[in-house]
Amino acid sequence: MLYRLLFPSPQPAPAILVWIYAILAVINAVAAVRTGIRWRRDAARPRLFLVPAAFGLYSLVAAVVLGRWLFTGELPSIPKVARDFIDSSLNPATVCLIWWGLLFVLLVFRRPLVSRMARPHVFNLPAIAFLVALTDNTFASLVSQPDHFAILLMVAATLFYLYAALSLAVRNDQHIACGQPPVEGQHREREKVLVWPDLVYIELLAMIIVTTLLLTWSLSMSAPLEQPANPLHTPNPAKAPWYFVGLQELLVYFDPWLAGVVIPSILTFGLMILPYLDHCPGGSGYYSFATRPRTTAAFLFGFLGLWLLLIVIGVFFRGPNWAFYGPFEPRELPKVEVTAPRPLSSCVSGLIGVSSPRPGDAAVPPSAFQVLSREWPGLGLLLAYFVILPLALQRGPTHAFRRRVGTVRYYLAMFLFLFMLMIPLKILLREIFYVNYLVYIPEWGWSI
Amino acid sequence: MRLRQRIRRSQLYRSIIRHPAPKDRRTRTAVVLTNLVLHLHPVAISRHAVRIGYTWCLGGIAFFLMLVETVTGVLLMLYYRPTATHAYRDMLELRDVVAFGMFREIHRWGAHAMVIIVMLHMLRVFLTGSYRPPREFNWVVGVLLLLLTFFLAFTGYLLPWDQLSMWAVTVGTNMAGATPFLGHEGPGSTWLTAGGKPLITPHSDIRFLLLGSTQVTETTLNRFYVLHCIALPLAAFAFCALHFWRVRKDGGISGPL
Repeated sequence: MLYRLLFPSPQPAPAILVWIYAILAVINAVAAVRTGIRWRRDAARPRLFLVPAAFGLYSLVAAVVLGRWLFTGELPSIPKVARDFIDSSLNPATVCLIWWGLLFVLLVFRRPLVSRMARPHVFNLPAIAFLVALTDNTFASLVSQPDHFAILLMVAATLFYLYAALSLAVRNDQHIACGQPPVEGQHREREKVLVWPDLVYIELLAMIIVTTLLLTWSLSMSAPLEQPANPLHTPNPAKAPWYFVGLQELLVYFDPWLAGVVIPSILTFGLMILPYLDHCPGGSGYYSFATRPRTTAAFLFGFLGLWLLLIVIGVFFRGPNWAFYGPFEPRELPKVEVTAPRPLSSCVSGLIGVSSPRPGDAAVPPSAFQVLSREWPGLGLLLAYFVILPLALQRGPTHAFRRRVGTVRYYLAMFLFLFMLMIPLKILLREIFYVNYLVYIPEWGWSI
Repeated sequence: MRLRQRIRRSQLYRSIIRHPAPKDRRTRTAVVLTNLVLHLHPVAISRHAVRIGYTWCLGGIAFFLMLVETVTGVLLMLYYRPTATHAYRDMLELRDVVAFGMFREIHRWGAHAMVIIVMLHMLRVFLTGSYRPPREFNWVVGVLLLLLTFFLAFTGYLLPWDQLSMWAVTVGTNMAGATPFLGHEGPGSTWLTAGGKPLITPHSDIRFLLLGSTQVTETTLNRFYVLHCIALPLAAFAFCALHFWRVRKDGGISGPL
């Protein structure tokens, strides 16, 4: 039995799983003891007993899983029915909606979610779900590829950091609501300490920790090296480096000139001029959500809801021919998704029963009038979206913002925000209504 | 103990390290003021700013990873030749023959970690509102550094010269061919003409500028090698210097006003 503990059998589950369960049990036990001590000291809040109890329960669950594995060699896994259900119900639209929904819940219900009562579950439930999913061989081989580990690390680190930052923001917002300064601004925190030794030793410690982690990572995982470069043999799928996979994923929804060039350029430009859009000083130097709820929500949506999500979809959910695969679906069976261009103009003309001129009918390039008379629905929609919508909004919800920052900044900010929002709208338009072009001008190349 | 004091008093030691041992407030100040690396810091700093939970050391870790990448990158350059015949073989040699060839792993995973940490650093600066005045220009410099990090990682991705790297770079640079007006597959490229001849062709567009060829070839390898080892690191270090300088000049690390 001891032998088995030291050298777990690789089948059916990866050996490392057992160790992760053990680590989970230990961490939860430690957390239970620590929160238990705090609960005993804090006599005013007896309900906090639930925190160590929850940690203890998770520790017990992990221990039971380990014990069961020792006797039967089995780890908890997802039944085939559930896996098939997950695979069949996931598609780009549902993945996006689930993720945006989770983000929405996290931001709206941030107060209960960062409370001490919720902490055991927030940390343990995703970990357990991930561990249970890992017993599936397809999922395990997908996430254990060396380059993919970095993406897992990124997602985990970003979510952890966001959770930590939101906890501090909630605490500061409560202070500000009571008329007190945020924690970073309290008298004791504003006192000066000497850089040597207070900061220098933290930096030294950080360097040692980073070096240790990097060396461990490098020793346990060798850098990938595939077959030598061969221009005659295209791999399927050919994927960009993971940090650009999000842009590659955008190619599904936009033409290359938008997905690869215009969208990243405009969003980078928007990122750069962000501090010039709302130039009023103040509100800086401490974690907060309520001070700038709209800006923060928009930025977090762009960072986690688009950039991170598109990378995850492109890396983990896209297989051969860039077709969408569920997390437990084998990649060996190539799918072919044939999508004919379905522009908005043809849908609209079908709807109102008028046959508009089809693109590519004539050999000669069409005149501007012909294009206009064909593509007026999409062009009109874009005009309404980028011009009329900001005008209409400034009478209502964005009135105060418009007054504060002035005309130029207002329209710039609104254009950048609406431009970013065009990405999720276009994703849903394609995945739910099967409309993949708002404006379709293949003759000139300016399709949107 | 007496030996240590003799060393400290020796002419050699005092010529190298000017400041006395950091024991009290005065000498600790002197350390930070006279040391080349430490003088990036102010002498004293608010207590909230040294809390791990405020910065998570993300900016410092990003810079540290950049230094790790520089050191391991120089080691890799000793073994690596950026030609189609040698590049892949040198990779195999690094993997199978070279003693402590592990620095290729450190370089690759360090690069991934650096991309992640730089993005998280941006998130931290945003969530603490530190991008706001008076630090708005330093935010711009930070976005440029993020872009430089991406381009450094992207140019390095090609160098192993295996299927993964070649096709990843092909996918990435194909998008440049779709640049409006300036890429041969981009919209509006046929509008630019000189004397009746098209100005933008597969041999003269922005993608060709990037690749030095119409597809990813040995010329591209050389181009990316030079960018990865010389041009982009120099730019990144220059912008880092500006970034650190501005942190100090904009009032040090951010805090409530």
